[in-house]
Formats: sequence, C-alpha cells, structure tokens
Amino acid sequence: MHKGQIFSTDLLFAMVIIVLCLGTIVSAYEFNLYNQKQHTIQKDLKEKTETAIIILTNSVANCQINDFNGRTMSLAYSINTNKLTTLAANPKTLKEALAIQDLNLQIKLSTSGTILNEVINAQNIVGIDLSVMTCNSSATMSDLNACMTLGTCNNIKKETLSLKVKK
Amino acid sequence: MQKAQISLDLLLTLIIAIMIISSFNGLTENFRGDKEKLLVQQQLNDIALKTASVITSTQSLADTNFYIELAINKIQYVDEKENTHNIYPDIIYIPDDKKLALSTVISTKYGSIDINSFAYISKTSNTDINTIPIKTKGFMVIKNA
Repeated sequence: MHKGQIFSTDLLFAMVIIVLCLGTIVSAYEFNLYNQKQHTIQKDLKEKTETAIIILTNSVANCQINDFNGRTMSLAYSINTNKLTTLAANPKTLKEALAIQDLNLQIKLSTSGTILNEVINAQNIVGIDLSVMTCNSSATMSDLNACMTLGTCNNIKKETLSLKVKK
Repeated sequence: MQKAQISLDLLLTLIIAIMIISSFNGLTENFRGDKEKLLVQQQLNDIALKTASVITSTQSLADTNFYIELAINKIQYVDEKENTHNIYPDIIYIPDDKKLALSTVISTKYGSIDINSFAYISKTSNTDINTIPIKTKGFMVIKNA
C-alpha cells in the first residue's frame, strides 16, 4: 500500500462482491414476485373461463327445444349455433353477458368452425375444451330423441366447444 | 502504519457496511409494507372473483326459484402492533358498470390504507343481490326475486 492511496484492491474486490450479492438477492425477489403474479393471473383467468363456459352453455346460448307437450325445455351444456353466431356478431355484448368484458375471447366448435376469434398469440391465455350438444334453431324433441337412441343426428349433434380467453 | 492504528481501509469498510445494513433495513421495511398490502389486495381479489363467479353462474338457474346464502371470507391482516385482525370487506353492486366493488381499510405503521378491488358480473334482471347481512352475519343473499 502506498502513501496517499485510499482504496486497496481488497476493498474494491469486497465492494464488487457485495454489490453482486445485493443484485442477486433483489433479482431473486423480483423473479419470485413475477412468478406469483403470473400464477395469480392464470388462476383468475381459469376461474373466469370456467364461469363463462358454464353460462354460455347453460343460459346465454343454450338450446331451447319444445318437448312433446309443447313446453320449452333448456338443454344443459348445449349450444344453439344460430343463437351463438348472432351473439358473436356483437362481441362486446356477448362478453358482457359472460362477465369477461375485460378479456379477449375466442370460440370454436369442432365441426362448425370458429365462431369468434379475438385472441392473438400471446401470454396469459387460458382455454377449456368441453363436449357439448349443438343444435340449430329448428331442432325438436324428435331430433334429440333420434340422435340419442338411433344415432341419427340431423339438427342436433355432439361437438367439442373450445373457449379461450386472453388478458 | 503504527501500532494500534486503525487503517483507512477498515474505517471505510465499516462505514460502507453500516450504510448497507441501514439501507437493507429500509428496504426490508418497505418490502414488508408492500407485502402486507399485496396480501390484503389478493384476499380482496379472491373474494371479488369467487363472489362474481357465483352471481354470474346463477344465470343458469334463472328459471328456478333459487335462494343462495353465500358465505364471505374475512380479510386477515396484521396491524402496526403485530396483532392479527379479521374483518369483512365492504361489498357493493354497481349496476351501471356491471361490477361488484369491494373495499376495506387496514391500519398499518404507515397509517390507514384503503384497498379496493372489483369484478365484473352478469346477472338476469330478476336476480336480487343483498349485501347487507355481510357485516353482521358474514353472508350475502342472492335470490330470484
């Protein structure tokens, strides 16, 4: 060590190591926070998607067919494709009905194709596939009966509904 | 260097060490304050989302005469004296925005902090939401009017 010298190499090394350690600790903390945030976003999206698909197939766009006594019957976990296509023409209203107006939405049916396509490829997407009965507006109880018992599905068929939401 | 003399290196190292420890203390306090606020925020968000999901799901029961007493969880937080508190959040329904708004006030060593959360809901016009029993009985009533 020379006269008038303030910092020794030891001190400089020690400072560099301390700064590196501090940097590592802060980075680890931020990484942990980021992971927690991502997990929370995914969890929230999953809950919203599950609720949306339940009310879409049980209330908002489900099949209403007349039974043999002329009464209207709601089919659980079903999609009226005519009704859904009409609703999809106005995505804002559809998303408000599903309580997901703050999210992007994509709806696809395995044979009928894409009904609504708002989702772009990006992070924070949750998707659910659900087996549903699809019908058109002219479906009757006889169609349902024939499809279930004889396998002759004219106005009613089984499809997979894919619903994706993106934050 | 003379006998019993403290070197400049050691002095500088001690000063830097004290500065680092002090800044760490400040940082830790800040983290703890933020963490407490985030924990309460997360609890509010969870309650908002779960409550909104139940209310929205009642659309599939619209043709029935349903009556639901939905239990609301209490918000848990630690105050400035390290005491744990459990309180029910304030929940109001804002029809114009189709939102369920939740809020609570917690007292921390930095003073009272107002924390808010909201969730979108969708319901039929017949569905009636009553949030009055939450503060006294801990549940909300959702029914088909």
